Amino acid sequence: MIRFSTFKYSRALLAFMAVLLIFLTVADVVTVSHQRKEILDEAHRNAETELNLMGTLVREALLKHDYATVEQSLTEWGKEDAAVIEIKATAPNGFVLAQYKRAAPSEHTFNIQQRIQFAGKDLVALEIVKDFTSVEKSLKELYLQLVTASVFLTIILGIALWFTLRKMALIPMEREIARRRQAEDALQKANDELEIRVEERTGELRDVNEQLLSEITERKRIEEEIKQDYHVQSVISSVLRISMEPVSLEEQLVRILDFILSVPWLSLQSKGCIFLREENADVLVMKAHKGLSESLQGMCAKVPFGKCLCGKAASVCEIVFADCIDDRHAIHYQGMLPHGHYNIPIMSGNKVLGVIGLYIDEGHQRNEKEEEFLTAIANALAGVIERTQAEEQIKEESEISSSLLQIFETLNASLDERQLIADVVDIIPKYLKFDKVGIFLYEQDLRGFIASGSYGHSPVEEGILLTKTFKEGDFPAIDTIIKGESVIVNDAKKYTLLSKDFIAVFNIESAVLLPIFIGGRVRGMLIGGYRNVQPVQSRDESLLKGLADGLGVAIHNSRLYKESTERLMELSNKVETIKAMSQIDREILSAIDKDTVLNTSIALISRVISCDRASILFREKAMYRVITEWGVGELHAKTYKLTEKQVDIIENNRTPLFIPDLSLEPVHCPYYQAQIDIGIKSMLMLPLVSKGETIGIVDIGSVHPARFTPEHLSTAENLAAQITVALENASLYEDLQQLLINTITSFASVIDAKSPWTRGHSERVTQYAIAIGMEMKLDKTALETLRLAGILHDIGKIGLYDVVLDKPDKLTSEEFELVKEHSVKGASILEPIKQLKGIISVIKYHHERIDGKGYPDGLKGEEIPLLSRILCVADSYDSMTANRPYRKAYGKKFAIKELKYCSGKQFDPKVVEAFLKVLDSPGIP
Amino acid sequence: MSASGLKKYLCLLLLFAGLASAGSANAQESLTLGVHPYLPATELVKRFTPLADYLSKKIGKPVTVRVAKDYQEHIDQIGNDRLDIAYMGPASYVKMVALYGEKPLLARLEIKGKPAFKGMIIVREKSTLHSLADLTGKHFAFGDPDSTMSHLVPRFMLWEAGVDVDKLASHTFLYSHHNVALGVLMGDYDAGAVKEEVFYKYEKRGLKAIAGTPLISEHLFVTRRTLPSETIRALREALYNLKDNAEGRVIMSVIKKSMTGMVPVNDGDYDNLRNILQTLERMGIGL
Repeated sequence: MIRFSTFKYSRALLAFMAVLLIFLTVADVVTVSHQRKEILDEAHRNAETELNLMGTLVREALLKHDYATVEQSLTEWGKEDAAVIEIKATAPNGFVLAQYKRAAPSEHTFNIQQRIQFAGKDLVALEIVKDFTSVEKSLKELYLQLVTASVFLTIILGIALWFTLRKMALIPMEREIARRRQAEDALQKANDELEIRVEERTGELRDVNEQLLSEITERKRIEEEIKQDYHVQSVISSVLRISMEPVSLEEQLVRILDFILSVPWLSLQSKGCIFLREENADVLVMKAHKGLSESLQGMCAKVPFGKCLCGKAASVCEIVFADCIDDRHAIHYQGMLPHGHYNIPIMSGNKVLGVIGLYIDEGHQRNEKEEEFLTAIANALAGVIERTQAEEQIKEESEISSSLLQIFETLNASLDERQLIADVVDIIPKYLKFDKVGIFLYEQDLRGFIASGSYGHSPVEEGILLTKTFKEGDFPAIDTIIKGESVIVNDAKKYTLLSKDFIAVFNIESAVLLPIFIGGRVRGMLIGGYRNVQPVQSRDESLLKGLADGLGVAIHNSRLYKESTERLMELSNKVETIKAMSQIDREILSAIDKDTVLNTSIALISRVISCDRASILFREKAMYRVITEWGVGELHAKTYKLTEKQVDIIENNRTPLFIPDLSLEPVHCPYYQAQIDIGIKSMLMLPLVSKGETIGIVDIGSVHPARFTPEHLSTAENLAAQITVALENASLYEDLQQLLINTITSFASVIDAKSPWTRGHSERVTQYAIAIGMEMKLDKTALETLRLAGILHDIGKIGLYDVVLDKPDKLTSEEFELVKEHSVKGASILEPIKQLKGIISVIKYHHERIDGKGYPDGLKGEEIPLLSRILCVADSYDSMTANRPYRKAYGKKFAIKELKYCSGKQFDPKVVEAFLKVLDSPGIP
Repeated sequence: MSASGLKKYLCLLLLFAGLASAGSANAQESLTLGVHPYLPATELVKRFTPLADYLSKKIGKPVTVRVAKDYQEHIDQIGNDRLDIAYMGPASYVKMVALYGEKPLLARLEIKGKPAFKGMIIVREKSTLHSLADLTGKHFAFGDPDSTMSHLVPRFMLWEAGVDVDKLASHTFLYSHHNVALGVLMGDYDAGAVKEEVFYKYEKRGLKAIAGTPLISEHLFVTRRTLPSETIRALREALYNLKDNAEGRVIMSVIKKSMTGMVPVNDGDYDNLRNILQTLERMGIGL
């Protein structure tokens, strides 16, 4: 019909489509490859998470030595996860504990591995091979779809362009011509039709007129009916509207009652009430009322079925009508005005849900329409009540399951039993409406249940609760619990299920008691109670049941976990103790002074017993002085007096003190106060007993209360005993050393004193030497060595004195040679005494000169020990200032001149310089 | 993890509810078949109900299955003649007789043609241990402390060979035969004790046996002393006849896959186990 000549445009159109197609295809490729990378990364991350999860599961099972579970669960895992091609768990010895391999071979796989370890030990190596063929496949499909879509799009676009072109350019012209021709034809046709129509219309009009007449009479009748129905419908729809409002059922009932009473064409007095049936009982409870006196509200608060008019309506399930107060009206009160009643049961099927009680004037005629209307309202109300009750039930059930879920999450969160119970106590008020809850666990030692967690008790009640043990046979409920069954007590004082003691301690009137199964045995009980007599709410009961079951499993798990870790800790503790003990033994053999023993001991105590503070105190008459300490606080060198009771335990009985909580100690003790002030909460105090007498105390403290166990105590006692032995040894050693030195010193001074010429020489030399040493700022050890060397420097002259030293004449060269030997001889006399090792070289070289011309070895300058150089100056000065048999004293002035002259030749200039400074000070002769 | 945990707990809840209602059902004139709880109760009821139905058809009285709360309750109920028919393990039987005296015996199980079973002391295939005496100073894995084959009898054998647990470097209870086999294979333990069928299951994965326990008579059915003798005879007949027809073989395989028959049994069949258990009891180890 229409011819087109637009093919000349088609070439340009085709070129445009080709470019568009290429552009779209490139976009597809880029999108797909980007998508592929992201999906693969995601798959890798997922697989790692999966492996970690698997690792946690396997570690936990292996720690429990539950190999079969590992094998089974890994195989199941592989079966269930279609993307897994292989799962393999290999033991360190190469044994394949579990292996799962899928038959389908795949080109696209990756594998990841993980080593499961515990406490540094390899348990098992996990390997998982995953397949991503499906990913590749779906990507390929996606790619195909995109390309297809692009081609399709291009084609549609091309076709659309084609048609647009055609429509815009050609068709309008053709159409205009056709339209004009059609218009002419139509005009002619319309003229003919018009004539026919006029005739038809005249006939129709007559028919309609007749019909209209009959319709008008019918309408009038229906209108009347509708008017009444409208009232019913509008009230019912109002009732339903009220029911949709977000208020409680009782509020709704009040509004609905108001509404019924306000319907204008009902001849009702403006008072009435709505009863609902009590759950599972044939009793009506008043839920809404209007215009009733307070006394009547009380009398009719609860009406049993069959009683009075309302009760009758409920029991016969029909409307009860009364036009006056007749003998059916059972409830009377003074001043009751004459009236009649409509009592309408609210029915759902055959079930009575409640009753609407309405007041009418005395003598009112029973009216069918009113009854129909009221029945309709009652039916609407029944729907409302049922829906509301069902909603509430569903709400409650869903709340229970979500609460249970959260409770179980809490239970899974911790592996520590105390923490677990504390967590449970924390969440109790969030989910349960009990006033009081108690968690009791069975104590093997006490053969009864004791409280390990409670909620809702005052601190006093809690304190009493903690001291009680509830045993089998104490009261009937306990025996039922032990049999693994639960007990519900609705009125504790009325029945004898619970003992009076229990009721007094727990202070409840109604309760649920549930057994807690741990490892398949009743090992605890969970009690939820209300302060008042009331039926146990089913919601609370089922939540508590869930809690009891969950708690049992969780405690079982935590105990298994604790047992395995405790065993490990115990072992490592024992090893540590043995190591420390042997180290102390070594210290005893090697340490020679008290300070080393004390410092080493205190460091070892802190290593063996995990604590925050350790100290050793020595007894000084009635006081104890802190000698050394480790950890928190600085009490060093402070002294404390112990209380009489402590003295009795520590000194008289020589037994340790075990203080789980310092703040609970009844007696005021300054030492305890000092410990509390630095934050210590629990302590062990052990006497150091030497030769049956307490010489000191070792104490160990922690900033946590009740930190120490009897094991700690016995370890500490062993340590204290070792420390005592070490201290005894050190003190014996010191005594021995002192004894030896005293012997030699007194021996030397006896010899010194024998000659009037040398009397006091050694003491004076010592005095000078120490003064020089102090001037030169030598340390304490060097000064002590200097003191001993000074006293003993001429010990080699034993045996010389009589013959030579007292000789008034000059010495012969032979005699002088003898004298020269005294320094070497002195050294050799002292050599066997180990404790004097330090002073031997000082004595041997105290006659050396720094120019190398001295004796015995001719040492030079710094080759000579410093202390020898000091001793040399002191010795020479005293020789010059003291009287001798062969000459008189030269005097101080001469001596100083001589010292200065010989400085740098015989004497060390630095020593001389120091001595000259000292000589100026008072106290030196 | 937590979702599957929740599911488990909810199942547990349901189970308790189920148990509570099942306990009270006890019609007059009906017989009770008691089973010890070696599997979850629902599973046991499922396994033993076909047998109960079969027996009730044979003796013309209803038979109901009841699962005891624990092993001790099971023993006590049999001892006090409160169960009409009872299924028992060998060790439980010996203990029951020791506590309450003998009961009429019905039949014992025949597994793959044998009315007795034994256990194995296993080591790794490449292990250098060849006899029980070699186990001194080694790590040993037991199953459940109450288990006949994974603890009690092997424990007796170790004692007899002079290697009681104090001579071992350690001994551990792994609570299942499978765990013992896998624990030894993993190298965590040098040796372990398992029942024969478990040993054969894991043998190919690298296990060998260095000793076998004596043969111990299989699980058995006993009845109460006060049951009329014609009923006892009928019950015995019914049990012995199980292997002779297809229906009976199905009933047996539901209880235990490898079960091939029920055969006559005497108290004397358990003497060797009784001796072992008495010896162990004198040592302070026992059920």
